[in-house]
This record gives sequence, C-alpha cells and structure tokens, in this order.
Amino acid sequence: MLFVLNMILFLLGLFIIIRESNLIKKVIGLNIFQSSVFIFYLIISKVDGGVPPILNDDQLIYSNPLPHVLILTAIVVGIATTSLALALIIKVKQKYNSIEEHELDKI
Amino acid sequence: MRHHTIPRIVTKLLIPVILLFGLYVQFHGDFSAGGGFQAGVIFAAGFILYNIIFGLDIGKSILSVNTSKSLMALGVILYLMVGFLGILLGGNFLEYNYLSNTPINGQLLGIFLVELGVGLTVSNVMVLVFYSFNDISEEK
Amino acid sequence: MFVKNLFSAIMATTIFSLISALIFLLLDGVDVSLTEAAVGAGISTILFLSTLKHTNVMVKESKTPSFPLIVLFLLLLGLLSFAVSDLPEFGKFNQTSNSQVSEYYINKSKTEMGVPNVVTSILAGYRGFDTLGEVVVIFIAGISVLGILRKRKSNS
Repeated sequence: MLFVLNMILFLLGLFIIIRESNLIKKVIGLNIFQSSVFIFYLIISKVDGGVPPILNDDQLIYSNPLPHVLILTAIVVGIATTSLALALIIKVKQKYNSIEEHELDKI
Repeated sequence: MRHHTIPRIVTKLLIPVILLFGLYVQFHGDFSAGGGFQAGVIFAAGFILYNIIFGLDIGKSILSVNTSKSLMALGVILYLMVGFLGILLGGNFLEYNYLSNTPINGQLLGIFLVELGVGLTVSNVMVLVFYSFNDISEEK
Repeated sequence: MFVKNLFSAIMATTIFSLISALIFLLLDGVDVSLTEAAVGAGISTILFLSTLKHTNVMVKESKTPSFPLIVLFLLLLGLLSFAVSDLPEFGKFNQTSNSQVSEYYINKSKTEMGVPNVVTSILAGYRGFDTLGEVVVIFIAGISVLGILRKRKSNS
C-alpha cells in the first residue's frame, strides 16, 4: 500500500517536470520527484519492531541504517544542485527576459 | 524588516537557541541523532534568519564573504588532511585507528574532525549561496 | 500544479517538505528527518523566494497538449503497479536489503568505533571516502553558484 502511494508521488513529480512550461515549476517538480525516491529508500529500510539506529543495551532490533546514510547525504547534495539550477534560471531571465519554456523556444 | 517589532523580538529570542542547537547537533552527533550535515544546515538556517531580519549589511559585518569563502575551503581541506594524516601515521587513507594512543580514541578523534570539516563546508556553502542570490544587480 | 501564482506553489512545496520530514520520522530515520526539516522547510524556501525576487510571480498560460501525456502516464502507472507486486513486504526482517552488511555495522559499531549512533559511524567511519566525495560535490556546487552569479566588475 505504501509502495503504491509512493509510486503515485513519483509519477506526479515526473508529470510536473514534463508538463509545466515554467522553469521554477519544473524545479519544484524535480524536488517532489527526489522526495519520492527518498521515501522509497526509507520504506525499504524500516523493520517491524525496530527503533532508530542509535545503540543502547536493552534493544535488539534496529532499522537498517545504511539507506539512512545514503539519503542523508543525498538531501544536502540535492539542495546544493537545486541552488545551482535556480542560479541558472536567474541568468536565463536576465539574458532572455523570460522563464517560460514555450517563449524561450521561439528565440 | 527591522522596523517590524514582532519579527525582530522573536528573532532575537530564537537566534541563540537555533545556533546552540546547531552546535549541540554538531558535537553530540556521535551519541544521539545528528552530525555534520544536519548541524551545518541548521547553523546556516539560523544565520540566514538573522540576515533576513536585520539586513545583509549587518550580517556581512559578522561573517564577510571572504571569510565565508575561506572557511568553506577549510572544511574540505580539513577532511583531506585527516585522510592524509592516516597515511603519515602508518595506516591507509582515512584510517583513524592510528590517530591516537588506542584505536577507539583514534576513531572518536577522526570522526569528530571529519564531522567538523563537513559542517564547516555545508554551512558556509549555504550562507554564500544566500549572499550571492541577494547581491545580484538588476541589469538589463 | 494548477496554481497560477508561483508564491503559493512555493509555499505548498514547503508544506510538502515538512510532511515528508514527518514521514521520515515515522519510518525511523531521525537523522534524515532532521536534515529534511532544516533543508526543505528552511533553506530551500528562502532560495526559491530569492529567485522569485528576480523573476515574474505569475505564470503565463502555456498551450502544451496534455492528453497524450496523460495516456502515456496511465500506461506507465500500469507498468509500475505490475512491478510493485515484486517488491519485498513492508517491515519484514528477513529480506535482501537487511542482510549481512547492515548487520555487521550494527554489531561492530560499538566495539570498533565506540560510537553508538550507527548512522554517524557509517557516514564518517566505514564509508568516509563516499562522504569525502559528497562534500566535494557540495563545494563545487557552491563555487559554481558563486561563478554564475558574480558581479560584473566595470562593465565594458
């Protein structure tokens, strides 16, 4: 069930990227797409009866810590690349005075 | 934003708490949730809040662009230095066992330094990106 | 997706980030949740709004035909639902992704590293080389933003 909801989120992000013509909305769609992949990794890493992977003596089952590490770094790299995309959008606006894709195509 | 009373007072109350929480997440990251990436982002968020409320000029007098640039590079260099220190002391690249007298102490020291490097780089990159987004001259 | 005002779109994105941080918390990723709350709800909103300052707030109408796209996405939906039935059951302990490697990290982190937080010990210790690469990527992204948006000195 969780996987199905996650799949719908994934398709929604992809749909926004392809359908929208505004560049800022494309970046927002990219963020949603990214989040759906993050949630997918964390769903896989969850174990029934597990607790967050901080060790203490009277607990035996922990959730899988490896996907957490991957996603943790991926989020911060994601914001860095998003800021790069936004900087490029500002430059496009200054140079061509538009951020709509169908207007940029005519130039 | 400086002349709006409520945001100014609330920010004054919140900023020390946010920065202290960032430091806690940085240095207590081995034993509870946290680490360099989270601490860097939280620290940058607190500093950016200060900049929004009190203006970029006052913010830049605290952490200037050049200082921020050098700190950003210093984080990566610190990480690399810890790696090469492992080679110099007789281990492999990024092997922390040789950094101190016992392997466990060496690991703790190595992880502490590496997280410090990560936190420095992340927070300064975020602050620099914020500065450069707000510094653009309106050219046609 | 349907709003014409980019300001409301950005605010909706912020709320979405906050909700996904809560989902991460429910799925036991405390470190991930902390990062997503600070990044998604804090810094990314500010960056989007700063971009908005230099561009238009309103979105212009576009005339992209969306009917073929919707058909394509329904096909993709069917294909992916077929794939979902092959995925492992939610929360089961004995599955491939929870096998030997993570077990090793959880069992050895206390004795080899002396660090109770397994996420930190993997991030900085066992997989330190990966993290070095990530930090360099962030560093390069920061340098590129500085280079793209630098001020022109004395326009010729």
